[in-house]
Amino acid sequence: MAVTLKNFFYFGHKYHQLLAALFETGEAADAASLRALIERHIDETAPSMETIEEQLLSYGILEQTPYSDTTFELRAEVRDLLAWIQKRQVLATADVIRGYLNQLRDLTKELQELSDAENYPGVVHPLTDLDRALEKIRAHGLGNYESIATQVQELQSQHGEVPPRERFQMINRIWNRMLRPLRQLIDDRGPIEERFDHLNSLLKELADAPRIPRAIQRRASHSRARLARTRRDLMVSHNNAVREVEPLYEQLRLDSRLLEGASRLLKVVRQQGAAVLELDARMCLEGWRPRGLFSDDYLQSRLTGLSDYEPDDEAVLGDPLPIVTYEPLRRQQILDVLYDACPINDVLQLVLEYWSERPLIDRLKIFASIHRGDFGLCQPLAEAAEQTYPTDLVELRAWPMKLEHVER
Amino acid sequence: MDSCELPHLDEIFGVLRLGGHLCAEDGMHFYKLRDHFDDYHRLFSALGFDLVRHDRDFFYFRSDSDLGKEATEMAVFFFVLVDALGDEGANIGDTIFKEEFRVSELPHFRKQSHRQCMAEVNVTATEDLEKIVKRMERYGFTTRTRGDFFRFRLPAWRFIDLCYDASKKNEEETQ
Repeated sequence: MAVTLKNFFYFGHKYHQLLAALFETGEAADAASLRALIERHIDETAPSMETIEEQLLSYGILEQTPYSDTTFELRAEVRDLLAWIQKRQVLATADVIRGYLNQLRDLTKELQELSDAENYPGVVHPLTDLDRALEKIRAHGLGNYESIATQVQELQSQHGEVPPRERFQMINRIWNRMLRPLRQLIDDRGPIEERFDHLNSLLKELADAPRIPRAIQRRASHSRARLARTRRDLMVSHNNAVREVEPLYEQLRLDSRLLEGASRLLKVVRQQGAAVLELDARMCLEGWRPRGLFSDDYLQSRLTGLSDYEPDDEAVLGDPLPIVTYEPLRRQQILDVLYDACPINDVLQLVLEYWSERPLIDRLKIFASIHRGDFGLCQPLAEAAEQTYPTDLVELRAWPMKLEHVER
Repeated sequence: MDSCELPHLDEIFGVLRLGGHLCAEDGMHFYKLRDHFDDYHRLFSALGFDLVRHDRDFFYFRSDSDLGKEATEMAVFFFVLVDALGDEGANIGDTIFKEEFRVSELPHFRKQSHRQCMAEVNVTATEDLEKIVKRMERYGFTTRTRGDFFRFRLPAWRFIDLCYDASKKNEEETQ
């Protein structure tokens, strides 16, 4: 049965759910799967399954796959139509658009040659092909935006069902395989703009030059308007698509990196332990300790280990030395000695020798009291050099002090 | 500005000295610190403290000595939480800072691999998780909202930075 507009859309009207289900399947269905699908989406008033199956094939909605007689798939044109209706078109890559640009280049060249040869009636066919190519480009741009918007909405609704990694892979593919290459094409100084500029100049010439027949001028003018619309809509569609994708792309990219980083770190923790990561050193947190507690873990553990320590017996150092006591010297005794010895040119020498049996500390105390002036004026011996005074324990160094007379 | 005139100096130092992190939700202390950052930095530097301003606009002291082991526990806690959120398919970045978490419902012991990781930092029970959350609160990484609910504060970005660094390192190694 040949397909007509009427019977095609009538079928679509009656079995739109079946068509939607065939579209969702996405892949070829064998005979059994097809029948199951048909059975699920028809009601009791429908004709037999065999009739519907036959209509699907005769209307050209389904066709056999190239690899098997018993598997069927949606015809490409029907799939495209259903995709367009549901805003789930296949994304047109930069290569697809580039193909149309090549076509535009060829058509522009053809138009130029015809114009140069003043073969104006001949420009009608290339202009028709040009219009078609421009509309294809425009449709792809709009289709891309609609499809991307649909996919973004699906991805946003999938959190909780699909892991972030997978969602990021999907959005990453759209961003890096579709949008970025397209951006390079349609940039201000990109190949598309260059091609459009050239074409626009030629169409303007065809539309304005007085020597050209009015019908051709009008025709060229219409194509020029179509070019302007395509140019505008392509840019708008692309920018809208970027605006849809970019926030989710950024969010999923960061989520993906965050998740990947956490997973890698946990893998190291499981396999090698947490210490390997040196997280304390990397975080450098200020220590939080109450005052009075040891801050040195090593010292703390050492002291804890010492809690059961039993010291050895003390070493014996020998018998203690005898203690010698001296009767303290009275001032008069010192005075008498000094009086008999005056004038004294070296007070320290006298003290060290006269009271030699006494401890050094006592002799230095006597010298200090004389030096202080307790017994008369004690002053340095003029032009005397520093002297050394050897004793049993130490060697003293001092400048000689004289005492010329004492006061009784 | 004379260091004696620095506003809220005592309180700010008191928080930072204990390892705390100050961010916008800390109100006046944060804003004064931000507005006089150079002066505070100079003063604290003279006292031997390194005041750091993070890209995400919060402040903390970076210690060069006397480092505890608490950072490791808190970091591993965070990594496991992120991994678990990933398993659930959540928008991780959004969830971390916008959602509240309940200690008794944390996912850290649901998967064997997560239990292993937590055991590496001696965390084997919900009570241990509670202690870590309290510790994070003390450092300013989390805040209690109600009951045993808590949420992360901006300084939790320090743990996120660790994850990004690890991811970047992986990217560089595989290129």
